[in-house]
Amino acid sequence: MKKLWILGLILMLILTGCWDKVEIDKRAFVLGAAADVAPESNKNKGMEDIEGHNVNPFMLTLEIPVFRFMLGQNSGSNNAGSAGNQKPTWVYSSTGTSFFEIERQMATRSDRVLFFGHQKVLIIGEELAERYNLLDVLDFWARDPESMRGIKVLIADGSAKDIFSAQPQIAQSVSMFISDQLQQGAKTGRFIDTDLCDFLHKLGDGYSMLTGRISISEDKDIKIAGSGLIKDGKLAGWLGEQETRAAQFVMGQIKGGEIVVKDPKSKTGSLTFEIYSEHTQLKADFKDKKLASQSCFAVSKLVKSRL
Amino acid sequence: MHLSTIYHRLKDFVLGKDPDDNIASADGSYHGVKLDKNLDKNTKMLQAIFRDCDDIVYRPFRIAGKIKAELVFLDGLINIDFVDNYIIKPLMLESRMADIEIEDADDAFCYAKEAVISAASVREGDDMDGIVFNIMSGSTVIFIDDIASCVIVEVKGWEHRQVSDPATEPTVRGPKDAFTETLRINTMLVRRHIRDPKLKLKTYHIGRRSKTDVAVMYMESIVNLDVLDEVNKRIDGIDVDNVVGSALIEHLIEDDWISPFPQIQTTERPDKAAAALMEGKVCIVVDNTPFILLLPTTLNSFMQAPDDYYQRWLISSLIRFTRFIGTIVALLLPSLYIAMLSYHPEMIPTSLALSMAGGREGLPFPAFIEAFIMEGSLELLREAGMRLPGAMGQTIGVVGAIIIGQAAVGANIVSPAMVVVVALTAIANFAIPSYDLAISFRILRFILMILATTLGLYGIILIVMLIVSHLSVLKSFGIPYMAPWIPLNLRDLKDTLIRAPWVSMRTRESYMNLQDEQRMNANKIDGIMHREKGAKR
Repeated sequence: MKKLWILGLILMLILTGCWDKVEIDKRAFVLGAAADVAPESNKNKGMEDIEGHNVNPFMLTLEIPVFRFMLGQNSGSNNAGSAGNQKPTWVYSSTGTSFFEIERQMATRSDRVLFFGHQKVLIIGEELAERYNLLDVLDFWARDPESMRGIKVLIADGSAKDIFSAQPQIAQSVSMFISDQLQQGAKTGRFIDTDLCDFLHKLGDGYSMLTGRISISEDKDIKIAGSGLIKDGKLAGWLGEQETRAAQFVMGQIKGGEIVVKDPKSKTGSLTFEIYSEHTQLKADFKDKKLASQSCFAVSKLVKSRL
Repeated sequence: MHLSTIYHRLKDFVLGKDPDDNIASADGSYHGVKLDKNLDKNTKMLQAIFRDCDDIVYRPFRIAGKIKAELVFLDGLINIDFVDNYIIKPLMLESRMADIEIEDADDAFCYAKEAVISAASVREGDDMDGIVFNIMSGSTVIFIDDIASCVIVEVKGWEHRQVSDPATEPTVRGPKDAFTETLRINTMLVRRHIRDPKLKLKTYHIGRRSKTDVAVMYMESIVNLDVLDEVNKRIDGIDVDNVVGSALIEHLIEDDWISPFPQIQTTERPDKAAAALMEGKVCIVVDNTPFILLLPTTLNSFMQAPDDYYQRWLISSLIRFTRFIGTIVALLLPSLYIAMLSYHPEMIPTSLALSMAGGREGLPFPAFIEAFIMEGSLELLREAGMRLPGAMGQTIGVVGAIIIGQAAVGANIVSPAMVVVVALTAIANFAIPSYDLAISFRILRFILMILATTLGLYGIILIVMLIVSHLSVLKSFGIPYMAPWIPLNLRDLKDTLIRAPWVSMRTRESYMNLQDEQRMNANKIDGIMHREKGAKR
């Protein structure tokens, strides 16, 4: 009997353990994902209409690196217009009723196991953000055991899928480009860096929040600037670059950037200050027991200055 | 099976069984026999004992021209010039002209023993056991007719290796002498470091047939007496017919023979042995082995290299730190590689993960087979390198490491990252100062790799926990093996991860429970620490 106990204890230790063994080169690393509302043509395609609801409302686009092209001989030469099969990443999309469903569906089109553990960015299309509660959209990433909480979440100005058509000059993939660029935020203050964790916290608690805005220009250049205002889980509107900065000043979140003022002496020239640190005090002004206005005092200590 | 017999024998001894039960009957034709008065009888008996031993020399002669005597020795073990000039010559020739009148055998015996033989060690003996043993260990024995006793003259002198550089424990600044195969030279080397009569030396003859000299050395006023008792008890309990070097003694007296960890430290450096003695350790010197055993041992003492104490403390501490990191790398790196690549790619930073995955693109084997191939070939190379003579051994190391590694990558059998892992592991393994500990880590590395293959990181943690718990209960002669970490003693941590400056190491390790813990005169340390700068020109 005692031996049985010992055997049982040993088995308990050994029979547990890690179960998801897939060799690293047999995995498809999802670096970035874009969530969109499916285009009209795709809707209802291949699926029965379920109780009159719009079927296949979502589209998911994944960016997956192709190791063989990403490393070695052609690093740094991912020029636009080079041979199509030389692209360092593989971008493909699919539509479905839920993102989980889409992910499983996409596995049927990949020879490797989709792996979300290294996902860097999640871009949400403008239309999707306006029409659906983002908490529901993010549900898949919140529940997936592989996904990291540090995934950067951005809202695209337009279609999210289009962002991945960009051709970054130095970075190896669009997702890496975006994730690295967001880390430079400290130096400009022109956009907001939010990750999945922020979203789940703030939206889960019913707050409104600002998130980064990403856009792609005609000549396939990515720009992250400005922010999207999310209220009640949906995109309510956009803030421009300067507005974003002002908002960050008010919230006391600004970490860097510059302020240009007119030179009081010369009148023609200007002085550029680099923000070193800032301190914000918020005071609410009540009138007749109602919140009349919010007075904010943004006190910035500007240390470095250059002409 | 064999090991367990030894273990039970050891246990029987501890429980009080007499290990000498069957020693007499082993080859006892002369056991307990006393010498006879008749020289011919004695000679016959010796000839019977040494039948077919052609290197035994019998030299019959007459003392003062009349009294029959015979000289017996083992050729090669004695200093033949000495025997010629200072034993045979005075007894044969000078005795005739001596002032003392040699009338009978008693006179001759007295004359031989006390008057003429100018050797440092001259003894009397009458039992065959002792005589045979003395002949076999390099003494010359003189039998005289009509006397039931003989004169044993110690004239040891054989070819032996000179004191040379320590091959396995080289230092930059330390002394460059190393132990040799001769016990007496080894004890001399230690004595040269400690000129204190409190340094005691107790000799055992172990091995029913080999009768190997085993010397136990300790500092009487420092050593932990319980440890010393235990050592003596365990050595007494050894009953083997041949002592195969100090390793046999080590393995027969260690606490746990199943454990992969060495529980007794070995060294070939006299300075290290002397330092260990002063730390209250017991040294066991075994004849024919240039390695001295130091005990009790802690895991920590395997991580200390002699150079730590010859360099400045800051540098030593840094070096020791690297050594500990190297140990962890040697133990864990390949298994972590397997676990992370197969189970936990999210733990690798993204760009590293991408490049590793890229390097593995198109490889035929999964990561664990790759790792076993490379680690296996590394062990193979190491073994092959040891067999080959000196210069070739080094060549095969280089050839193996560079050519095979490169070729394996080129042939798409292993990934470049794996070659880096294997090379790092091999180098890190050499950073462990003790060879004994390094090879035990090699076993553990493979166990960890198997568990990493089957259970991932969880398996690694499981084994590491197992190792740590094993080390925590392991004891070496009553001293905890993991001391001073388990049980934790902050004062003793001065000589572990770092090597504290000498001025702060005023006392010896407290976990050893020594009689005398004082290492430095505390009153004088202030003067050393607060030396007035530039006071004297």
